Amino acid sequence: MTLMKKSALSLILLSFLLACQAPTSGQSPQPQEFRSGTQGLDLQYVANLPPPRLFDRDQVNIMLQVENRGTAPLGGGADRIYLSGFDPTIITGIGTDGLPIPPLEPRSAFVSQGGRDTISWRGQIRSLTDKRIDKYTPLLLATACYTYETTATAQVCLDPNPYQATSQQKVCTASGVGLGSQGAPIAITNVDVQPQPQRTRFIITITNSGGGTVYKYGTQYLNKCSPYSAGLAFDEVDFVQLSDITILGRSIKQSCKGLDRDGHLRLTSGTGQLFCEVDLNEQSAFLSPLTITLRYGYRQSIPKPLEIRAVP
Amino acid sequence: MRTFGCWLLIIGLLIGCTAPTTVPAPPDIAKGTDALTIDLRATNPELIMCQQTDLVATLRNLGTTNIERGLYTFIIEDQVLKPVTGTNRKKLFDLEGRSQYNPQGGIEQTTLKVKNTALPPQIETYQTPIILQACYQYETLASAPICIDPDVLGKNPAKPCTVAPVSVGGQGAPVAVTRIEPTMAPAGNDIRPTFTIYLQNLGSGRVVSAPDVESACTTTTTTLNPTVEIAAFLQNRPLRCTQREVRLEQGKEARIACESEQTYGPAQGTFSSILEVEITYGYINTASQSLTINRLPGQERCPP
Amino acid sequence: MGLGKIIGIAAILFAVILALAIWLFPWWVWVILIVLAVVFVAACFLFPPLGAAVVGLFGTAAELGTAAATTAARAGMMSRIFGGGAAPAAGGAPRPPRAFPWKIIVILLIITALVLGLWQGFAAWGRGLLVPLVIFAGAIIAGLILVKSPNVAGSIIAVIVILALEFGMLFFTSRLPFAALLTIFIVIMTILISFSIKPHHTGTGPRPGSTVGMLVLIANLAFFLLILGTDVHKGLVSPTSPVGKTIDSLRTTLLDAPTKFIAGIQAIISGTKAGIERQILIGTGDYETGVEAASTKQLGVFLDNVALTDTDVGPDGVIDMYGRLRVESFKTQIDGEPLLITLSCYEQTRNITGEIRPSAEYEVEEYENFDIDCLFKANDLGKGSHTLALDAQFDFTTSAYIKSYFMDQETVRALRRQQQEPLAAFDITDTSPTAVYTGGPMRIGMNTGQQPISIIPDRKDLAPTLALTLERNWLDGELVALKTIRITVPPGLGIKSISGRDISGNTCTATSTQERTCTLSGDFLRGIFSEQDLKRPFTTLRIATEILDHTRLLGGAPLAIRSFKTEIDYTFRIKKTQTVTVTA
Repeated sequence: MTLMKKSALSLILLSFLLACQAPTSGQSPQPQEFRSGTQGLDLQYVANLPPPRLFDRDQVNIMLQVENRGTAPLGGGADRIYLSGFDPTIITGIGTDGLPIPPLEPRSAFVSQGGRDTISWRGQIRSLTDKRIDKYTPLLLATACYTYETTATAQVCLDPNPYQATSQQKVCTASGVGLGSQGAPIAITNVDVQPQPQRTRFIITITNSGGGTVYKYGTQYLNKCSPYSAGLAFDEVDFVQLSDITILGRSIKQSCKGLDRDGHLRLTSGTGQLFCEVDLNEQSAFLSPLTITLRYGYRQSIPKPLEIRAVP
Repeated sequence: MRTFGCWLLIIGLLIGCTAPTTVPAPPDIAKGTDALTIDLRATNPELIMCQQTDLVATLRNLGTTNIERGLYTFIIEDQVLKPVTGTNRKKLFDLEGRSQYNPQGGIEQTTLKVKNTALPPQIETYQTPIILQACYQYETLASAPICIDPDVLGKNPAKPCTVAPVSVGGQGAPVAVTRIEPTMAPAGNDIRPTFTIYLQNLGSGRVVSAPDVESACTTTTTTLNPTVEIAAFLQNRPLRCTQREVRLEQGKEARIACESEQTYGPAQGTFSSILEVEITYGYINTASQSLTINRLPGQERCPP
Repeated sequence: MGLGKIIGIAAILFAVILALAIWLFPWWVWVILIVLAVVFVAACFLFPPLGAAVVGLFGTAAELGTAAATTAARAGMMSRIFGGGAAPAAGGAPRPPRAFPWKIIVILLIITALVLGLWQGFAAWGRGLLVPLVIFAGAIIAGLILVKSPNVAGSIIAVIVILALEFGMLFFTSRLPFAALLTIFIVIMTILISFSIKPHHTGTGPRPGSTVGMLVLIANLAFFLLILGTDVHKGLVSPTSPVGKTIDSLRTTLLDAPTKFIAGIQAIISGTKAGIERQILIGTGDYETGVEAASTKQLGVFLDNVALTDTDVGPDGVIDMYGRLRVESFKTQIDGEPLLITLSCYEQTRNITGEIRPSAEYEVEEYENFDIDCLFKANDLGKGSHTLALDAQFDFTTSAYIKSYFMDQETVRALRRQQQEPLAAFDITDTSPTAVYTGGPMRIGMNTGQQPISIIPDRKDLAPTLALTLERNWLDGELVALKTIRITVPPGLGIKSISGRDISGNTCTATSTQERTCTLSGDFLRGIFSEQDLKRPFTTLRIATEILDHTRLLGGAPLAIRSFKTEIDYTFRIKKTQTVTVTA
């Protein structure tokens, strides 16, 4: 018992220590590294909306909480959320057009939490008793269709003379840069730098890390994302568009290979590689930021089982 | 102090760990494969020669369909037993089915008073069967969850349901839909849901066609076809079935294909719905008991 | 062999004799014998000279030498018993093997014979005195032979023991069923065993085993020739003594055995023949079966416990054959007349009739018993053995019914098309009903064909055929006459013909329950059943029916349960026999 008491006391003291760090005085708040994470839009059903069991001839209220957990703006425009999976003759009043996603601010250096809002539907359940049906158990599916953007910046080493024999120490050595995630469901995970004389090639690895479906950027594709549409074709899904890639103050998008004529890169098994290069006039190695911007449409769904019972 | 702290901790845990209260669900009514059950007894199963006894039949409707104008008949050996004057061997009956308002179903008790009139000479003990046969019209309203999926190419991986065969349990009637195999048949750019519906008589009685049910309990039978009438509905619209009447052999599954007149395109999305099947038929239940008649020493004949 | 073993074996043999004695003698004789045996055995142990003398009688003392015998006597019997053998003789001579104690057994038998003879003498003077004298003389002779010639004596002792055991077994089995067979079995086994017995042979002469067998065989032959061929035993043994009664029983059993054997063979032959014929008719569909109805009493008329007051009667005596007439019947009247039983008794070969008392005719109701006596004058029969018969002729009624199920043909077909058995649809498990007949001398089998019987509303001619088989249930009686057959068909049916004969000339009436009953009698019945048919074990009739009223037959229900009934009135005769001997 004495040992237990001592352990409990130690735990309590430790938690106090961790929680109550003395603020360092005289320092202004530093901007946090915010470009991380693989989520774009986060969807959650609000508790009890709808409840797990409903009864026929009742109203049904469905509410979703939406939050922008990424680093790109979301909502407004053509971004929509659709509710599907139920028989519209049993649950009526819920349209197939979906509801627009309200504008949601992204996370930033000074805004640690992105924009948050709710979207709700109201429907009416028809009678089941008349048909002598005991229960109806649909799986509600909320599907969000939106466009998003991933921006990644990597400090790369440009070496115009990588094979030059010199005793002079170089500023940097051209090598790959691992980037992790950038606060978006599509992540630029790696930039591989391949220096050549007066030219440097970049191999950029892009991965779909968000758990949803990525498709071509564009309003027409956004509309096709709806579960009430014909659906995205096989050549419209798993594509990201290279918006721009800049280095040394100029765009090197034209040099990039692996893109279709619309500038889309195909992801295979969720991963794709982009090959770009830059010509160098400089004489010695130097570090320079490489900025890559991708645009794409994204679809993600969240299910909710429902039980509707007939009551006399 | 220590004790008080422990109690606080326990109460806190209890409050935190209390299961969330849920609204109790009403019981499922549409289950089981029984319709009418008959319990037949003689108040005196061992009868003395020339005495009388009551044959008591308790009828219960354990299905979900109301029985209206059902007919029951007592079958007895006329040479040995005779109904006492005023009691009827045949009678019409109505019996409510189970519902949310009456989960037990209707119960009725009927009695036939019979008297032993004779025994074969010199026989000390004689056994005779007593049979009650009930014939009535019945209906099965089966509902099965099915998936309507216009996305036959699987473009959208996240779907609220998948098209798959559905096994259906008892529906509160003896003739049951045992399983449904849906098919999303292409119809241009849309799909036309087609369902293969399997039915079987899972009850303990016999199926006859609804028009023949009354004559099944009499001798004026011409044909006793074990056919049922079937209709299917999806989203309140009738389906087009290959046949309206299906022959249901004892112990065997019958099959019928029904397709939706309406097609479904991508605009309707993938959703789960309920396929409703209505089966109308006549049903015959039988119950039997044995009655023993004993002759006392010295008894030869019964008085007229 | 140790002396203990010797005495043990002797004790066992003596116990066997005593077991026999308990049936022969009064209890106080048995006690005396036990006491004598115990005293004798004790004396052997406690009085060494006596024990030595007994052992010496076996010849062991002669082998050991007098010194060994004296030593043994001095050491006492107990040490020798527990030592498992004799103490070695002085000088270290090995112990020779001991002989079987035939001589002790002889002595015990002599004692038994003496007592037996005394009892016989007390029990029956005159004739009875001869028996113990014979036994005593035999025992003396056996003892002398034993002393003089051990080997031969050993054989004789063995023979006496074997014969005593054999006779004991015959005594016990003489009153059992199959006594004849048991007697023959015991005799044969005794002879075979005796031929195989080879008592311990101490001498150098031939082994006496075959001698024992020969002696036993001769003794058996002599015994059975005497009791079967002559009446000598009557002079030797009192007929009222247990031994006398045993001999009489054996004699009767063996004398009747050939007759019974032949009768048995004949019964087997006729039974087999009947069985084969029955199987043929079953195969051709011309034999119908039934089961006997459960009844608290066995129905019929019986002659129980028929016996003779005396199986041997003097020439001036009266022979009284008695028995009990027992009636178990449900019916009190047949054809409106009371149940009449006529008795008669007679001597079988010369047809001499006896007088029946109290009456030769009885009118009976249901369950009654009467004690009857049949008297003959021995003079009328004459000297010798006679077989007397007591027979009872009576009218009896046997009834039967068979349940049948009727259904509309379309209903039957509809159910069969659905692979469903029509009767199973009504929860009926007895789909092949069997006829049930009441007990008695005759048996009735019935059949109405495959169930259910399909009825077509427009076809009155398509009616079922009832097959009826009448068969003798009591094989040791005879059917004298068939008086009436009443066949009742369910309401809605009528009878058209029987075995092809149109029934219009016979009476058919409707009963209160709308059944139709046709009574066959007189010439019509004689036309179906000739005298020859009455002697046959069974006869089958085929009764063609017709539908008179389809609706009444089916009763307004999908299934009709109906019964066909049959009653037959007939005259039957049963007989019992006994054998009596009129002496000179």
